Amino acid sequence: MFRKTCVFVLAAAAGAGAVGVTDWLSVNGANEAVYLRQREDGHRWTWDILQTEVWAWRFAAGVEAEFDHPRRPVFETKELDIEGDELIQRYARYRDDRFDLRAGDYDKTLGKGLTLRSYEDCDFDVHQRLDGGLADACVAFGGREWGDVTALWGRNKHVEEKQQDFDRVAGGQVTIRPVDFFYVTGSGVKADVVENVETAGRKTGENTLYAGGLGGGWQYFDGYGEYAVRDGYDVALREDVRGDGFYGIVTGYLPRSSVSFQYKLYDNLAYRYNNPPPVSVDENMLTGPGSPSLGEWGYYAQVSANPVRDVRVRGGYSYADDQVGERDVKTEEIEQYLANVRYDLPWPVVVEGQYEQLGKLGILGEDVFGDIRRMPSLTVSWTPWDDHSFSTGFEREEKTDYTAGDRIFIYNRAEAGYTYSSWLGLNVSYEDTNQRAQELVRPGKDPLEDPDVYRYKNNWLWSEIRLSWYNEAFQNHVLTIGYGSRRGGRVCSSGVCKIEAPFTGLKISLESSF
Amino acid sequence: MRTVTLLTAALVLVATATAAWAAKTVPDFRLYNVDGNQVTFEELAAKYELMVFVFWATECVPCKDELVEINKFAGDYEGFGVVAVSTDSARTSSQVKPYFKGQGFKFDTLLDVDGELVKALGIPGNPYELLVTARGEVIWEHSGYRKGDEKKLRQEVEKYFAEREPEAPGPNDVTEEG
Repeated sequence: MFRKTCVFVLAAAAGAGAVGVTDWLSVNGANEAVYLRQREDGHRWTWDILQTEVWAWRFAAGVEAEFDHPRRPVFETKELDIEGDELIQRYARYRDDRFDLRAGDYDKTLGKGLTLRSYEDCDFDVHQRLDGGLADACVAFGGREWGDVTALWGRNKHVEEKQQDFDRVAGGQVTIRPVDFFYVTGSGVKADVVENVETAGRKTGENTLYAGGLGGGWQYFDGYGEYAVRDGYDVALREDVRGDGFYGIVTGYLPRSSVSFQYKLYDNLAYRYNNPPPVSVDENMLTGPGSPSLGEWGYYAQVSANPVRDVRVRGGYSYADDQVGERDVKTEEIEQYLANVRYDLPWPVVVEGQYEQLGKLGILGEDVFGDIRRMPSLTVSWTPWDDHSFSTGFEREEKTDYTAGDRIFIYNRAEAGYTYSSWLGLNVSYEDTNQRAQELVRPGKDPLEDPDVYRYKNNWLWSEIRLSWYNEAFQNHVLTIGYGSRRGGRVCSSGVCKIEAPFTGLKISLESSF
Repeated sequence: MRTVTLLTAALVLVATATAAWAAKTVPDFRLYNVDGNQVTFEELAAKYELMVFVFWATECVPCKDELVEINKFAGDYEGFGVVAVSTDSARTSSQVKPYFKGQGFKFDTLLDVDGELVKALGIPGNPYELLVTARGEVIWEHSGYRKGDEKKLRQEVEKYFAEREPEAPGPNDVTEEG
C-alpha cells in the first residue's frame, strides 16, 4: 500500500508563494525590501532581494537578484562607502513528476551527505551558490519509487568576496530503494580548488570524494551511515592527499520517548570546500567545527521523553575533537551538554526552560586554553484568549575565557511579544553585556567571540511592530517597522543562521510572497 | 582501533537497516491541539478514513499560502480530514491559535513543539504534506508548495476514495433486492 512518490522541493525562495496567471502559466517568488537609517550619522541603506520563478507548463525561468545601496552593512567596514552593489543570478528549470533539472546560477543545498557538500565552503558556514547544472531524477514505476539520481557540475562562487573563483565541481549521487524500508546510496564528487588571493588564480588543489551509504527505518527506529574516501592532490606541495571518513546516525522510538545517537570520524576528509556533517546536541553546529582539519572524531547522544503528562524532557551530550597538524595529535576538544524541560501548565500556558553548556579546550603542545559557555534560557508562551497571544523569553550567555585570563563575558537578552489574530505583532527586546561594543561591522564574527568589538555600547533596546495581510492575488505580505538598537551577531530563525550587523536606528522592511 | 570502531558502527547501521520490515507508518502520538486538548492518532483515525498531515510554522510563508488553499476544500469529502501540525517552538506556539482563528480555519491543528512527530516521520522541512490512512499508512508525500500543488493533493484524495475497496456488507445490512 505504501507508495513513496518523488519529492522535490518546489519553491525557489524560502518565502515563496505563487500567483497563478492561467492553468499553465504562473509566477511564484518572494521579495524583501529593506530600508535602514542609522540614528547617529543618518547613514542610510536600502536593499531588495527578489527570488522568482516564472513557470510556463513545466519550464521556468528563475531569477535571484539582490540590489544594495550602498553595500549591505554585513560586510567589511571599509566597504560601507561603496555606492551600490547588485547580484543577479539567472537559471532555467524544468520540472515534472520525475525530473527536476536546472542550469544557470542559483543557490541550492544538497543535504548532509559526505560528498555532495564538497562544493560548499566551510569558511562561510552556509553557502551553496553554484553556477552550472543540477539534475534530480526520480525512478518511479509500478506505483512506487525505486530510487533517485542527482548530478551536478559547474563552478561554485563566493558572493561575499565578489571574486570570480574558478573552482570546478562535478559529481552525483545515486540512491536505490529495493524495498520500502531500506536504501543504498553511492556518490562521488570531484572538485578543483583555486585560491585567487594567494595564487593569482592557479589551481591549488584537487579533491575527489567517493562515498557509499546504507539507510533504512521502520516504525520504531531508523538509521543511516555513510563511508567516504578522499583522493586529493595538493598542487603547492606536489603530493597526494588521502583521507576517509564515516558518519552515522541511529534513532530509536520507544513509547513516550526516543533515543538518538550520532557518530563521526573524519580522517583528512575535508578540505576548503567540504563541510561534512557535524555532531551536535541541538543541531546548532556548535560542536561541529566543520573545519578543514585533518581529523575530527565525535559523537552525540540524546534522549527525549514524556515521563508524565504535560512534561517533556530532553537531555543530550556531545563530544568532538579536532586533530590538526600531525594526524592523531589532538588540538581541540569540544564538549556540550543540554537539558531541556517543557511543562504545559493548565492550558493555555507553556513554559520551557533550558540549560546548555559548551566547553572548548584548545591544546597546543603542553599549553591548554579555551573557554566555557553556560547558556540558561526560559520561555513562557501564553494564549489567554483566542485572538491574543503573549510570549516572554529570557536567555543568558556566560562565557569564561581562560585564554584571556579567566575573563568573563556576560550577555543577557529579554524579549516580550504580543500577537493579535493573524495580522498584528509587537515585539520588544533588551540586550546587555558587561562589555562595551562598538557599532562597527565585523564580518563573520559573533561579537561574543570578538573582544575588540566591545568598546562603545553595552546595552541595546529594540521595539518592532509587524503587520501581516493576505490577498488572493499577491498572497502574504509582512510589513515590519522597528526602532532602537540591536547587538547583531549570529541570528538564527527556522534553522537558518546568519550574521547580522549591530545597528541603531530605524528599520522598515516589507516581505511579500507572490 | 579506528578500523574496529568503523566496522562496529557500520555493522550497527546495517543491522538497523536490515532489521526493518515494515512500511512507513505514522506512530501513535499524543499532541496538544490549539484548544488545549491532547489528541492521539487513534482518535484522529476514528474520525477520518483518510487525512492529510500538513507540517507548517507561523514563520513559514508558503505554508500559510498552502493552508489557505487546502481550507477551501477541506470539508468536501466525507471521511477526509486535514490535520495541520505546527512545528512552532515553545516561543511562537502561542501564535498558532490566534492565526488560525484569524484565518477562520476549521480543521484540526496540533502543536508539535518538541518536533516529536517531525523526527519520527523524518520531515525535512516546512511545508510538507503526508496523506495517511486511518491505519496509519503513508500513501503519498510531498515537499514544498507552489500554486496549484493543492490540486495534486485533491487528485490523490479523489483517487483514494475512487480506488478503495468498498466495505463488506455487514450482517445487518439490508440490500434492496432482498
